[in-house]
Amino acid sequence: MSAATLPAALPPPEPAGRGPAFLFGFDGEAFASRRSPAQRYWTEYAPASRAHRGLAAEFALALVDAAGRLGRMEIAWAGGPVGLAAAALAPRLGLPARVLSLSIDGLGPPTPMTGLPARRIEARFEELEGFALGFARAAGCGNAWAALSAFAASHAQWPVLADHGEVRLLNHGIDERLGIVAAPASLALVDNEGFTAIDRWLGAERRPGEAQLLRRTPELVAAQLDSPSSRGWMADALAGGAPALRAWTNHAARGSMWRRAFPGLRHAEPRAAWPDPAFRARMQRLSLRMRRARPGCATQHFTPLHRLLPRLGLEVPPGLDEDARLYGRVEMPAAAGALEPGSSGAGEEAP
Amino acid sequence: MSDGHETPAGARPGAARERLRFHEIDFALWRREIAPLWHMEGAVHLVAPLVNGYGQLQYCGREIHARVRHVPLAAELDGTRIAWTSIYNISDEALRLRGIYVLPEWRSNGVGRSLVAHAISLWPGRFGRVFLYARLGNVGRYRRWGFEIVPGHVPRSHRTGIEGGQERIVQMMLRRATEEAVDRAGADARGAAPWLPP
Repeated sequence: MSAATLPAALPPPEPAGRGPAFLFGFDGEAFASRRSPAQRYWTEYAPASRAHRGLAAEFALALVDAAGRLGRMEIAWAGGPVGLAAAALAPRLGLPARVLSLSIDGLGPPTPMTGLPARRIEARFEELEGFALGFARAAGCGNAWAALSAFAASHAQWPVLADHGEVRLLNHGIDERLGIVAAPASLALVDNEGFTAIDRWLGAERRPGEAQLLRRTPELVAAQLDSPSSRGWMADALAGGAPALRAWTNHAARGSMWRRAFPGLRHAEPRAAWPDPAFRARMQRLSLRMRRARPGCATQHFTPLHRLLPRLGLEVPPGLDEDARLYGRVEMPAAAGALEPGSSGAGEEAP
Repeated sequence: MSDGHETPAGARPGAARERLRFHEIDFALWRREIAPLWHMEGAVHLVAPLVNGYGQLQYCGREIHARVRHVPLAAELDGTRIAWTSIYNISDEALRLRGIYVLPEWRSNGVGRSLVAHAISLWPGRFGRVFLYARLGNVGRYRRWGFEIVPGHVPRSHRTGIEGGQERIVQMMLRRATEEAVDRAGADARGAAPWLPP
């Protein structure tokens, strides 16, 4: 499906009893596809309605929630922690599920042995390439690894649960290229436009599925941010004493978070499940071709943590709101007044 | 921007600033014409509508669309655009200037400063701070305009669009309460170019 044939607004994930916990959009349209490079990409998190119960419990609740919407589901395993934890929990929770694993030219992570029925798809890299270029056009994404996850999902015969997603935190105060602290810590949750490419692809294909299990409920998002690993990373970043590259992003803390929550599972980043250098080089070239086929999709959305944590009912650590002191606060919309430059907002002089 | 460029032959520099007209222009046009600032003439489509600026942007979610007003601006002299900048609100209290580009032949004439002053003047006074990222070579210039390096911020790397090219940039801030000081700095600038009208 070409981008031109995409509907302006794709059907949103069906909420399970309440509104979606996670939204994305372009300009004024939620769950939409990019129609112009000038459109602004955004993501939004719903407030939590109760205290979270820890990562493992909230993950299980979100999985049950997703299964309630999808019915029987096929977990498209790409080697990542979401698919692994889902595959491990589903039989214990009595959820109707099976695992779909993928092998490209004989490479790929072995099917996890979790007691679920499993299917393995053997494909050639050329098939992935053909799929990826169409994926780039449909989802507006130039990331071959996202295409790989979607390629796995494309083989699902049941509603698919994509092995996808992470809660990536970033410290803007770090210059990672120079490896220095360039400014006081400024922490945000990062949402790359590419992270929701699978959602756009599922919508374009009218394929039932769940691509954002980690954002399925506000309480699961809260549990990830409030995990000892995430809290430890925030504290280190705010204290300023950690080595710059460790304080830049929570990459290591994410792994630690999964290992603490599910100590019996061997978690890895999805890319680490495909370590073959030649395969990774081909994936890099494929990403280049995808970007040429559909430039764009390179934007990021940052949610300042000092705004997100209170929304999720979480404590704000000391020093986190220094951003607001420097860059200014955001008032509630009702009190903010007109934002058009040249307009006279409440109590403001006209320029 | 850099110094040392001559005013085009036949132009009367003393009259240039008063003949400047400032216009909000379409984003697509703006990014095409300002692209040389970032050496992105061949990749104009990659010039994003907003940049976060290492944590400057305090809005999130749908606020990004509903509450951030990006104003791409150009300075026009006798019907020809010669300078560009843009400005947007990063919170309900602060602004960001993004990109200040003057055609080489019109530099050091007060054009950039006039355009920036116009951009800031569009906003109500409650937007009390204005931020920008300055290339190190321009820090002195922006200091004369009233900006100061933000405490705790040091030069950081910046990808310019040149293959492998990097320049250092540093965040600077103007407090609008000091606009009188900016006016004085403008007078100082005119001292360096006495042909500018007061």
